[in-house]
Amino acid sequence: MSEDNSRSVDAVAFQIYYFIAVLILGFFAIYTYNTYGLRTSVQFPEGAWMVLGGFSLFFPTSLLLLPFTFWLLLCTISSLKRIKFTQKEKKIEIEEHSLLIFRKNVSISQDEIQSVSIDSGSIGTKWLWVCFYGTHMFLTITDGVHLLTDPYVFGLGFANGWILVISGILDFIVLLLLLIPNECLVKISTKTDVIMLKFSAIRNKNKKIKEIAALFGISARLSPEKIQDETQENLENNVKGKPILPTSLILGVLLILIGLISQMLRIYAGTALLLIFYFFGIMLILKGIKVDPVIRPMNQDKFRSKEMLIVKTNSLLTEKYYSIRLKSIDEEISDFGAYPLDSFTGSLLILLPFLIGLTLSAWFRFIPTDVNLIGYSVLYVVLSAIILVGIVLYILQPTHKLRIQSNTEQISVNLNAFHAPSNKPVEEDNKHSKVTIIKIGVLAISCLIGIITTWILA
Amino acid sequence: LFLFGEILWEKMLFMKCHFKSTIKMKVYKKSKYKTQLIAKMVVLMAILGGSSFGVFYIFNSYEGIADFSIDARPDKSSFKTANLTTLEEIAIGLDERYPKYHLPLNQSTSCTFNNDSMENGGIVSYTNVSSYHFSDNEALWTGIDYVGWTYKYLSAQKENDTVMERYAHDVLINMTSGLTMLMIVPNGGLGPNFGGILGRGYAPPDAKETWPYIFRDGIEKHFTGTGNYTDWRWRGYTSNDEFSGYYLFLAMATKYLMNISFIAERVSLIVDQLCFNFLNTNFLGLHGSGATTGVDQKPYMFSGAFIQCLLLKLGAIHFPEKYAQKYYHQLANDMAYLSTHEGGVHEVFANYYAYNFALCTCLGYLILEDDPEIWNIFFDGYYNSIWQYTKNHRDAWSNSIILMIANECAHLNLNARVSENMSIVVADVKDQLQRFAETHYPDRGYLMGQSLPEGYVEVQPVAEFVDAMNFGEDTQNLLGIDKDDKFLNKPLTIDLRDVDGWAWNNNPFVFRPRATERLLHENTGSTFTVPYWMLRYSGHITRESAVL
Repeated sequence: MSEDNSRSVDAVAFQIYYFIAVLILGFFAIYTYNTYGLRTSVQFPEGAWMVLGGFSLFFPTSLLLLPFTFWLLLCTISSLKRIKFTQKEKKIEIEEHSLLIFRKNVSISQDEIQSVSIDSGSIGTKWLWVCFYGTHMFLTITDGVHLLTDPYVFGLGFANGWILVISGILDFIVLLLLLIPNECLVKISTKTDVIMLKFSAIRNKNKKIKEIAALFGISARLSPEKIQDETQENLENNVKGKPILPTSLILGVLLILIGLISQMLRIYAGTALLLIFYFFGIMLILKGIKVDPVIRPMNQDKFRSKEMLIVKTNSLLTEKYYSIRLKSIDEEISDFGAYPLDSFTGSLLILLPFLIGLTLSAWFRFIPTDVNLIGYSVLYVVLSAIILVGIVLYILQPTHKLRIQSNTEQISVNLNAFHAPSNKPVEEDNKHSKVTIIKIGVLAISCLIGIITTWILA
Repeated sequence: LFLFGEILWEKMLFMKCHFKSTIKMKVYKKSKYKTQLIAKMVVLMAILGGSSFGVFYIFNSYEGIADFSIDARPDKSSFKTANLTTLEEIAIGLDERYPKYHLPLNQSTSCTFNNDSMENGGIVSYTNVSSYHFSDNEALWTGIDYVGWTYKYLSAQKENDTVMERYAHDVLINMTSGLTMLMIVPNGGLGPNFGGILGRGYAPPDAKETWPYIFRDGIEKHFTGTGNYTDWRWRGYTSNDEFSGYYLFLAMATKYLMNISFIAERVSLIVDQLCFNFLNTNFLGLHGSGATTGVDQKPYMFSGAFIQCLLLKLGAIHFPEKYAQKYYHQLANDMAYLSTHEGGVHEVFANYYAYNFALCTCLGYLILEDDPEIWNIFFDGYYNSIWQYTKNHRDAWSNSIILMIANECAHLNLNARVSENMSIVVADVKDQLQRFAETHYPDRGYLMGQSLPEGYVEVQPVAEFVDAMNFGEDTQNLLGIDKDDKFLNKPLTIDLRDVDGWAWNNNPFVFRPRATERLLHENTGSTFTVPYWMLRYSGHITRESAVL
């Protein structure tokens, strides 16, 4: 795939931000252990948790997190590696020294490579950290802020409030450290194998990614000078630098804001719905800054010849490169406007409407007619409608997705940054309509199940 | 969900691979990728399923320790026929002594009398108190006693006995006063402008002889009062036991006594104070240093919603404009209606006392909530949990509660929701009252039988469980169990048990007789009077004497 001469990219990788997160949690655990101790007793003059005769504050502030922190430590240690990409005589050799000791070596002929994707900000299963640390953050900050804002809390109550809030703030910092810094994922697909390598270079992270892209001949073809030398097809008339509506960010911020207002005023969302608001809020914001393209790129971000398609997309914090060999692809490239129902949108479509249905139906089921709560009822309906309409608009937004199907795999490239082709075939529109109907159906059914569940459960 | 969603949607269907390679470079054969993925899914499911099964198995085995208590149904043929005249005389007799000797500082307590037989013709007068035995649970005991006196007051009204009504009224005023001080002393005042700490007990500065222990220095639970009460003393680290008894007092007053202005004024202020403060602390309890006690009144694990809902229901009744929305928010939006189970069968062998205070919240809530939709859900929660656990315990308190709920909530069609023959429950309570009358009146520290009664066998179900699980001492402590604990195959009736204070708080499956008698020690008599007046008010016991 590359026309460059022999060269190599060498990097030492280590998740330094994971390490900082482990240090923060570790030092905080030591501090809370020294302050509160690993004790269960009846009387804790300095504060207790869960039940009288229960647990010292070391348990909720630190001990509960220790299994996850230990896992994080393992991830941190295992992220230490040296990687080396070498291009030599039409071959790409990838060397990895895990923990700088254990060597693993793969050699691929460049002719065998079907596709290469380089993602500078892979998220992968980092969602799970949101579930672990996000839940803990929610619980500790909720109790901590209540204590700090209670006008009649005094003495050690403030200390308890602060330690809970600090614990929650540290969770937030840890989440930022885990989620925001970029981690590169290189995925190379041949006819028979898939090779994946995830790393976080300690120095010159972006430069290394660009060098790897160059090694695979991606960035060279995307340079304006090179474009003139190739046969190009279907290059779209992009508007240079025009911003794209950051829908993920908007919906994420909306959910978090509604959650915060609900929690502060103790209206609308209960604990379960609040957690879902915050989880999806954080994930949508993360998606908005690390996955979704935000600025329509220039023409040189897409290159297509008879043999090859090369695409570069940008989000706020990441760059993604795709290089796909077309000759070996069995099916044609297809562009269409329906965003596929992936795990994230699937969860969004199921969980949020379900809990909103559950909340609303319980409210209207239990409130009496003789107490004046009509204002709250109207507010709850309006808020629910805003969220549901927001979800509908979000999932139905026109999306330009490039899907390339071969016998063995499907490569999916989010091309939202590019204009959708004006000459879309009719059958694609029909497909879009079907997917749209399915999505709205899933949302409506989830909401309905939520409403019915109130009666099923009690 | 996300983990499975990620795997199912993005791996199984679309074969994306970014989940992998977190630790090291992965090389997959495409042809084997699906097989590998399915194998990994199977392993993951096996681990998750195995872990879940393990936890379920341990929990189920833990609960199963107390299966013997579920099977120990009372023998109806052994029920004694109650002599209602005797029971009435005993109730009146105990009630005569209660305000004189068992309500010092307006808190319920037992006492020890001086042996003045030398000056009294060889007979102890039982009028000369030597010492009071204030407990760690004055809010709970006084709150429960409040139930008996409220129903005595209501019975008197029903029976047009103005003398008895006046007497009960005055005692209720005194008890309300004492219970009010449990809020005033720790916080410096009453109402939402003060903190929300509840004391376990209190004493004014001139009560050093009445309750010397509370004035002793160096006791971690003891604190001085706040504001105008800095020379008063109170006991802290208040538990949910205490709050439950206290909320029951507030429920009784709210339901029945709002016609008494002295009570109405104080109760509404206390309700406002508690609701305001518990909403502010997110239902966390505080103690004298300001720190959290560990008490948390939020329901969790689909259990324990009664206490929070009772407090907010009280708020919604007294101040609908302030608390009605909060009540329905917790109930509906925060899904308290899904957490209506109370207690667990394991409390038979670990923390038996928890039944007693949980029953307080059930009674308080179910007599206050009159919306059929909500009431049915909470009644089902109560009926399918704590009632099922305690119905065979020969517990006159638990039995009286379901009878009272049936009486007060007859319009909510309770009979259609229960399978019990209520006449047997009534007979069970009467049997216990009759046995008490024959063996424990007056309510003093008699020496009961020292050997295991006939028909009773001791078993060690905890030992079997601990051995099977190979639990060490620390784990046993954490679970509140002891390998050496012995339990009876069926509950002791009250005539076979020591009574020391409120008997229905103690485990009837444990035979641990006191070695010495304490004839100068006198209990409050509430073990008898509270169930008695509950049955009398609900019409299961009739008045035998004429109204004077």
